[in-house]
Amino acid sequence: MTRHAALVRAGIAAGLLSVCSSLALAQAAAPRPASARDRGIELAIGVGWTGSISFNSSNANLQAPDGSSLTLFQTSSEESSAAGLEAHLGFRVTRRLSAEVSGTWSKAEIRTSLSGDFEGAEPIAATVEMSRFTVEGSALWTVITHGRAQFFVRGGAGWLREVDDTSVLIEDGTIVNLGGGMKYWWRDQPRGALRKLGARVEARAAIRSGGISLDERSPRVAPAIAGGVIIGF
Amino acid sequence: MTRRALFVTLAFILVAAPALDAYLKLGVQLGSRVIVLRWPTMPVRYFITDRDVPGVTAPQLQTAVAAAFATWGAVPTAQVSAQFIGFVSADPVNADGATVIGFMAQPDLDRVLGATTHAVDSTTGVIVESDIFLNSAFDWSVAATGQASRFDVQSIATHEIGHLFGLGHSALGETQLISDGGRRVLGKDAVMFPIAFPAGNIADRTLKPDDSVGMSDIYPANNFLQQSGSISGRVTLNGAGLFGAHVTAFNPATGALVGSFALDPQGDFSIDGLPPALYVVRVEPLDDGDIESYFQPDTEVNLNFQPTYFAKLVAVPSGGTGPAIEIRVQPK
Repeated sequence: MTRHAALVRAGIAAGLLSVCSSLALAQAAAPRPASARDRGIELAIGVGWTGSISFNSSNANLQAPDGSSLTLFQTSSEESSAAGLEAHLGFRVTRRLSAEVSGTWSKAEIRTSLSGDFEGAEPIAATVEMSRFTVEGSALWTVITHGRAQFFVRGGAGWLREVDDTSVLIEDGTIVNLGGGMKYWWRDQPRGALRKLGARVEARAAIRSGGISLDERSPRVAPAIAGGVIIGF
Repeated sequence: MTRRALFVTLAFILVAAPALDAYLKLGVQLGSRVIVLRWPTMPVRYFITDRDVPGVTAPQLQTAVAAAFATWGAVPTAQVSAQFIGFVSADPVNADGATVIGFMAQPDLDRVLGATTHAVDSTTGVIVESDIFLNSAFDWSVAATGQASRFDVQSIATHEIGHLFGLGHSALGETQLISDGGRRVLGKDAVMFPIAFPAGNIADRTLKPDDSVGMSDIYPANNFLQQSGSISGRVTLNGAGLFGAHVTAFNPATGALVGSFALDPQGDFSIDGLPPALYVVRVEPLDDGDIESYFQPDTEVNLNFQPTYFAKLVAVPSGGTGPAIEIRVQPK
């Protein structure tokens, strides 16, 4: 058992060395046009960040005899920026156009500040954490290729699910992403196990409808950025 | 079958443990059980006392009462209805097996605009009769936009009909003690708040979320129970349960407030019938120590604690409840 574990560790170490060597070699390699073996499939895996949004403030109001509002307490709420993971699987349709399927997971905090209590309750911020999952289909258009770099625009739409940290409240919605970015290929070879390897970054507007919300405004727009490695098959 | 009149709205029992699915519902103690008061069938058939008072004839009273019934009947998630049978000479508050609504002079009740009584089947707990009197010692009006110095029949009837169907008082309001020992409403968010707006005001013709949720909880319709959820937990002071604490849930997305009470010695509470969402939860002592509008007069309720928010937003699912929460309060 111990010998088997040592062999496995040795195998993993050798594999990592091999990948590192390939990466080092790739630094010197020139980008190549798509070869006959290029199936036009790309897998990008990375991290993402979505900016915060503010919800409309909302007061807990009672109705006064004259029809005006008597405020029991005031609230103002926001959703924090969200960080998470994302993956994109792309299929080339034409030389410039690709179809992508994307999935993301991220975590954010919703925070409601409570103040101005009519009976003097201490102001506090009530919070809850939530997870967001999205599945999306999109079209990616390569605008220009410059050396190792490919600049693209991307537009897509899909489904989102947001779940609070007690897994009690599950709200579905839709998401639309519009943006653009760059792929930078470190390695682009006609053959080999890791034929194409690079980095991908993008910036986009994430337009969400539905999901967990503390106001009835829709859609909600937040900036988002993402980056990671991309592998071509 | 024995029948006995058990309740007037001025002194009623809120549903207590073990039936903690209770909202602000009236209840009856049968042996060791507490049964939520409700009508077994709809429509509720009612009579109107054929008695005019200054400013309001009996037919005008009937029209206003029908409008008040229709207001409750329009709650989309509740199944309640009523049918006017005819005018009778009988006074309301008369254990005759008939539901009668009418004016009655009660000058000794100088702060009571109206009251509702129930006759309950003592073996099943279902309502067999409920009477409403409006106190003709006050001045009344059925004017469409209200009339200064006169109380609006439809507004007060809407409150009393809430009792007739089985709702108790809501504590969603703020009052101020005034020189004659009474209270003045500063603001409220429920028709079922025990203190009326001043004469001339017609705001209580319109239900608030707290009212609609309460009625829907007793007479659910259109998958109300499957599509709404609950917040449950306990209120504690120095580790001990706090009976009678008023707990409210506020939905920042809609602005709706819904309230309930900690209804057992452990401080357990449940706020039912909430649409799925995130809620702010706040607990406070009963306003101005107005215990008798909610509990039996001899009930001990601790009012000596600070209003407090729960530090998390509470998620409410469809057709269920999330993890129980504990709201710890501090003494004043």
